[in-house]
Amino acid sequence: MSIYEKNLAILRITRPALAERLAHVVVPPHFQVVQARNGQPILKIGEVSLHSPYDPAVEGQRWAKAQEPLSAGEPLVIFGLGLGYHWQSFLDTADPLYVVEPSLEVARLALEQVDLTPLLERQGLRVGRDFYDLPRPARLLVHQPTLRQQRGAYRRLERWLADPGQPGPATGDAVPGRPLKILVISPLYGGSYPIAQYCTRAFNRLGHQAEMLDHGPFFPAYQALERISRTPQHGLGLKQGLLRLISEAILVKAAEYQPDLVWALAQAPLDSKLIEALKDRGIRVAYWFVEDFRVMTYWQELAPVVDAFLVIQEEPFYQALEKAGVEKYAFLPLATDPEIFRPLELSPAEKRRFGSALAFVGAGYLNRRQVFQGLTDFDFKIWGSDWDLKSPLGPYIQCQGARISPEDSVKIFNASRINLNLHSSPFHQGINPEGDYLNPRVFDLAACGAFQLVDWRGQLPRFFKPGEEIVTFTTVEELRQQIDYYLAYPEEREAIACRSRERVRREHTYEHRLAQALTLIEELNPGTWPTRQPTATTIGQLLNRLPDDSSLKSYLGHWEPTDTVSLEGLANRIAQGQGKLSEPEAIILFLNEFRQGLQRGQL
Amino acid sequence: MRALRILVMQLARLGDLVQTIPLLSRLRAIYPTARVNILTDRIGEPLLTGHPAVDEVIPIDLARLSHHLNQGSWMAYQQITGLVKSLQQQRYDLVLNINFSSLTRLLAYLLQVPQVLGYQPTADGRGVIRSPWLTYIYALVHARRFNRINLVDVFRHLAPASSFPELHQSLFGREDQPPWSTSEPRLIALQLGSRHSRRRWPVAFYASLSQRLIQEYDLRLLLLGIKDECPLGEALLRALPIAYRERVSNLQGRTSLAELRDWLSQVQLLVTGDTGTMHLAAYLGVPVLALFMGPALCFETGPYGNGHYVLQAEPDCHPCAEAKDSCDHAGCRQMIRPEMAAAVIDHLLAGNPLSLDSAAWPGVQLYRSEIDALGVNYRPQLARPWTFVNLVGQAYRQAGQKLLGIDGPGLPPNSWGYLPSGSRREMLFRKLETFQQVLRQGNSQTAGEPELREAMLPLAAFQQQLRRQAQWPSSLLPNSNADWDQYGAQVKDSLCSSLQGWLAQAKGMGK
Repeated sequence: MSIYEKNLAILRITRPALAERLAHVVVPPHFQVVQARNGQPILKIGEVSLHSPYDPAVEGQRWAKAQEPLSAGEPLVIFGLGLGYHWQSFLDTADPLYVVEPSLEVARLALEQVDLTPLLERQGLRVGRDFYDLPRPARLLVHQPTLRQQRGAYRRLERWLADPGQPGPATGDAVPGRPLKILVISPLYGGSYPIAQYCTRAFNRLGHQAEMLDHGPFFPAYQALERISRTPQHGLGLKQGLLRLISEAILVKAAEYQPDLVWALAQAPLDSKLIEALKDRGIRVAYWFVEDFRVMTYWQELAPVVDAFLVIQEEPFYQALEKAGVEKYAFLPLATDPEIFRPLELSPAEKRRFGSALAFVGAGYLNRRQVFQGLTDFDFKIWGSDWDLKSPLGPYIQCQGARISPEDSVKIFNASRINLNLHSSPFHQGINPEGDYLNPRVFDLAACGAFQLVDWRGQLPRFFKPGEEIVTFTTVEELRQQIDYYLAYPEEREAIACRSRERVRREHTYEHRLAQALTLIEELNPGTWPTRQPTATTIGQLLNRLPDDSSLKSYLGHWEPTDTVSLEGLANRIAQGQGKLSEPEAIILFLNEFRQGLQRGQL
Repeated sequence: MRALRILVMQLARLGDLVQTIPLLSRLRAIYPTARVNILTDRIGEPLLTGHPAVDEVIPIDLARLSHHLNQGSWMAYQQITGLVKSLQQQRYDLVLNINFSSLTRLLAYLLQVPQVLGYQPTADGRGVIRSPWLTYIYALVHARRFNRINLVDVFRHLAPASSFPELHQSLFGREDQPPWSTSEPRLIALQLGSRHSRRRWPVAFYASLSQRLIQEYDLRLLLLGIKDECPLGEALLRALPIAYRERVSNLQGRTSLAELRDWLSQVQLLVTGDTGTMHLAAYLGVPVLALFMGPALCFETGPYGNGHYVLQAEPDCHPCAEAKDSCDHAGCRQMIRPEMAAAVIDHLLAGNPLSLDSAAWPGVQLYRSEIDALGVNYRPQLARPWTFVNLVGQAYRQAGQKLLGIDGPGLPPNSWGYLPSGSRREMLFRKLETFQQVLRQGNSQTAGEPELREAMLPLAAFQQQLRRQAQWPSSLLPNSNADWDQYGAQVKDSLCSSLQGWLAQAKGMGK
């Protein structure tokens, strides 16, 4: 009988539901068990090790010794299971003892590696949110490497244990299913601008009510101010003036729209003062920092003040965040919008215009300029801005280096036999050997069913199976070999692209991410979403509640019964229409006007 | 032949409902046999039930509607459907939509009546058409300093012109009656609060005025207002010497609408800001001393009728915008001193003549309300030199009167002040002459001075809005074949000729 079978057998008796779940967990490849120098197993998640890579047992004993002694009978709760090194010694000294592990995957690997029977026999292992029956008050000890992975889960547990008056999980888990009002703040321009649009669409598809505050129209003014003066400081001052004005506009919008959540994208015109002002109004502020923290350092101002700082990089960013005193952060990788990025049927003319053997869409960063000069013997098209038209790459640059719209990108992705995806780096020559996060292009290309060659990234294996769902390279030579090979084998290209698309649709859409984001935000700020009556129901539900003779009933009869409706949503659709208003339409508009008047306090 | 059926829709606040009563009276005068109904919020119902100008008050329960909506309940839909159905069954011939609001626009559209006056819904229900009169009012609001038309008259003139005596003249009458009968007891009401703090006279000033009144006259004071205003009443009482407090009865938050009306009809005077209580008192014929400051402008919302007094703070920046968040120099709240209010009350109470030395009233004007052919106007009591704003404002009022086709003189220019002398006179003449040129060219861009540009704004906005409506497809404009352009030209001509006349008169006086 293996350790795993032994553990599972006991768990099936003590906590059968948990046993069932753990037996079916599929552990993703970035959870790895490796050997420490002394030969003992340790657990790594991505690049982060949960234990000392030298002597995990000694490290665990030291940690246990360093804790304040317990008083007799004091319950002990340890956050973080790991592979047990840090809590083993408490088996003898603490009773009751509970170990709360937020991750099913970690629990499963521990079950495979460590004899947990002494803990399981006393019903001491709790996984996920299964802690609402633990005794309170209790001593809470924290396994730091687990904490960095799971800040939100820790805050939830800590809050529950610290406040015996807090009601049970019904309020603590109130996020899913309840529609929130969300104000998405876009930047003025740049790569995160379309992401703001995708987020707005995704929040709405999740059944929330989201609106984007679009700062795109201010970008021409921003550029115009830059050109006013030849003295850089003057231009800077003017631009800051504009940003201050935009801050005020955000406050005005927030006061009127009264969102539960402000969702800001990287580069959005927010500063710490504005964030505090929004929070003072009871609005939760989350910031999705879809940037490289080494390149863009403005996170140092924002991360400490927001209610949730969501990042696409892990260590050493986590350490840097902790050093800056940031507590409310969590990992939220990028994704795609499969309704925008999708396989397209192109006309022959479009295929000629947008197609080539090899294509790249993106800005001309230094490392890309270098690498691409080694590819000029291929049928190669380069699309996007910030390229030097006078360089050797000049003949390959399309549209005089104009910016490419997402719509055209989709066509290029679809029309090109091989799409290159080389992550940008201002620091490295060529290919960045230490690149970690994935750019949106990885997901967008996959969603189009387009074939891509992407430079190796530390996080890649947790999103795609290398070789099966995606093909990578680490050197220019390898890249050239891959291009030659896959140009020669179109059916292999197609098979990989198809698997890649399936994976993305299953796991990596903005809907997946943002549903997770709302849980993370709630975990980082437990139990604090405002209570609000639901505003979205489906047409079918509404029809069931209406009396038969209601004119609304016959009006809504023409609509899809599974569509969700809110008064505001209906009214917006009616207002955008044309022609004479019918009676139900006019009454719906009336009710919506009245409701808005109430919200503005004008009635 | 069945009697004409008329529906007036007024969903705004209580003060606005009171200000609608003269319109109702006028309708009654014009259509003595018609059935006149009014649709209004339930809380206003007691005010109009039994009023001779109204046959039926149709209440809409806005509190219940908001309850349903907050519950996300389809009952809200049923409530409005029911209301619309019952209104449709009345088969109205004429609807007066007097609120610039999508709510009443949609209701008016749903009723599908032959004629809508006021804000008229387009044929598809999606937009609204302003009558020339409402377009003119909308235009005047672009430069409120120049506006001399009271909201009551805005409403009143939505009904066709009438040569019949209107009911309101008896109600708002009291022409030159001494407000103080010799009978006791003497009772003055104070309304301390107002919806915006910038329209509110400081409570310390009310306290100082109260002390003085109690000291000098044997009277009692009533504090009126809603529950939210209780802290103001308490502050006033704290500021009074203990012996005086028993002379003050605090009714804040303790009166229903009917009780408020009963109390008001017992007082000899109401001292108040620009409030619903003020409109109610004026409607009941109770003399009012109103204290206007900040965004409040007596020409727009002063007490209606003859013989009310208004102390208006007139700093350079008045009237300020309602929605403005803050003011760096909210000094206008301090400009009206308690002594000034006391002097006016002394005049009313003891019949003592007012000391009208205008130097003693810096930054403040005392107005007395007067009814003329158009409606209410406010005659300055302190002699001050003519100003450009004053003259142009009166010219706009005259032009509005012409637009309505009403004959009759307005206040004569010498009642607004006197012709300044020396260089100030020259400057005024020059400004008026330039303004006339600008008017004739019709381009506000050519007016160099900001004040000239501002003075042009109402005309420009009027013409622009008329042109916009003229460009709408005729399919959207039910029974409207108005020649929109003529109105703009008419107003322009009227402005020019008024100013020309006064200028000639002034130059004659100057010689």
